Amino acid sequence: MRLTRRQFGLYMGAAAGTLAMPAYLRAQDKPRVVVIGGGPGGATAARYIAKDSAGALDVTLVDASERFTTCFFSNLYLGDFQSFDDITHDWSALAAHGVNKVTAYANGVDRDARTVTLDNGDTLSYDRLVLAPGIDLKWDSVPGYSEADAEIAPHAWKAGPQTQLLKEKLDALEDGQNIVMVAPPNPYRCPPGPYERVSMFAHVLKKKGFTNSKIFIIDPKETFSKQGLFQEGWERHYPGMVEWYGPDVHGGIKSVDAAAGKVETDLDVFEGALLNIIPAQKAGAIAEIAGVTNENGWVPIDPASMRSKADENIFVLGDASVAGDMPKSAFSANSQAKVVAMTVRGDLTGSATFPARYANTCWSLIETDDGVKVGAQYEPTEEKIASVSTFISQTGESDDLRKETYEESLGWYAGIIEDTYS
Amino acid sequence: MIGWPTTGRYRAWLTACFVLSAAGHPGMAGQTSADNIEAEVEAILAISADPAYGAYLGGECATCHRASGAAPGIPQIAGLPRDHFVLALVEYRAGLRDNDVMRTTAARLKDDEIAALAAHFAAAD
Repeated sequence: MRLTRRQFGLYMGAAAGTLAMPAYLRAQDKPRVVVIGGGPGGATAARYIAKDSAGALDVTLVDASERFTTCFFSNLYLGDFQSFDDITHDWSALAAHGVNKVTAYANGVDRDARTVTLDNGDTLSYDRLVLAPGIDLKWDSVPGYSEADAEIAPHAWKAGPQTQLLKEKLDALEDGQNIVMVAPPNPYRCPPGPYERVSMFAHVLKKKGFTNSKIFIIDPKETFSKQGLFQEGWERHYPGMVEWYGPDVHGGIKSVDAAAGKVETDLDVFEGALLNIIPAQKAGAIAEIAGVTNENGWVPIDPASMRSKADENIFVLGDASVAGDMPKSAFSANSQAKVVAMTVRGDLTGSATFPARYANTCWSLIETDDGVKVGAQYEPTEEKIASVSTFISQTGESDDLRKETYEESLGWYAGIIEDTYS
Repeated sequence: MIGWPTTGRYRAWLTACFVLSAAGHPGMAGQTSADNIEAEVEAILAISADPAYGAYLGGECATCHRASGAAPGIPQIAGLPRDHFVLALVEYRAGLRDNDVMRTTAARLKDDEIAALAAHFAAAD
């Protein structure tokens, strides 16, 4: 069919009209991805979606902070192996990949309209939403301990000011003063974390020459991650300083009095000048607001894609998700983020997708140059993300191997920070 | 360069180790002889790699092996020649090189996946 002059003119006019449109309106033609949460899960997802789609997608990353202090390695800061600056990063480099970082708190999700509302009054539209909100604490889970008490007895299970507060209190201790930690129940962020933290507490006190201070761990769990390794390490490096109490021995936590520095259990009252109370946890608040959480407060996902089971346009990854055999760790979040990125790009640009695969390694430092690790490879099954093969450090390993393991963790940290924030 | 040895002397030493240790494991010597490793590597190098798959799989490596170069305890793999790369993974997969993380990672990589990864990292800056 031949174009009439009139038709030709219309086409040309429309094209010229498109070119004359400002960039931000033209950009509205691009499919939109909104990522909430700028940690190792969310920032990695935003980064990979943007950089691998080469401008085809509009990617917005929402995080309420200006800078991000990593919870991973925060124990090493407590132990004076890292500075606060060493473990604090920002998202400025992500702009070069095309990620638009918005500093605001997301407080609403309308899944029908596919919008996110922010506390600054703005509304963001999405074609795909990625939630990586980490954890929130269950404030009613430890009797006598409330959110306000975290200013006196920090949990420091979300890094930043809480970590600095804990460090101040640790450094202010005198010989003869005790530390009482209440460890969290499963499932929680970073399974070996509390015990690495205790190791760092002990390291600081030992370095100062303290001989009369004790560290009590009151644990709701019967066993804990890398238990044999930590107990061997505490015996070797900090003999007599660390006492771990499982539920069979302490009989249950009756009450915490943060101001008085007391943790009352059925067995006894444990007193400390420093209380580190780590409550039970759940997915970060936006997950519940979005309506994708289960009755335990975590988000069930499709193992092959990390899509939330409640809404196929919403992906949830990292600590907030129910990720089967994978622990809640930064390594896991970063690993899951790549599956999310691949799947989102596949959805929105038709790019190639491949079977999901996941991995995790968790390193813990027990004393200077004494590092241990545990990890696995995973793949999706019908039921869950399942581990395929695992490895763990062994008791009685050589000092050389433990030193190598610690150095490997330094390399990993440099790598994951580059992979997430550069 | 990370200098992983690929000379005949190294292979001969490995073969000796495994012939000795294979005394109690009759099947092992055959599976892990230097000749078999060499054959495995050649076979993988002959596979025509899928670059998109290599890029996807390579994402998993990026967490530790950062793009900008070596870091404490973790060698650089960006820019590693394909034959070095394939040999390393084949040897980890056969349990010939130490490191739990790498052995476990390599154990679940099939030949076409190693080929894709090798091509991806050889081309990386």
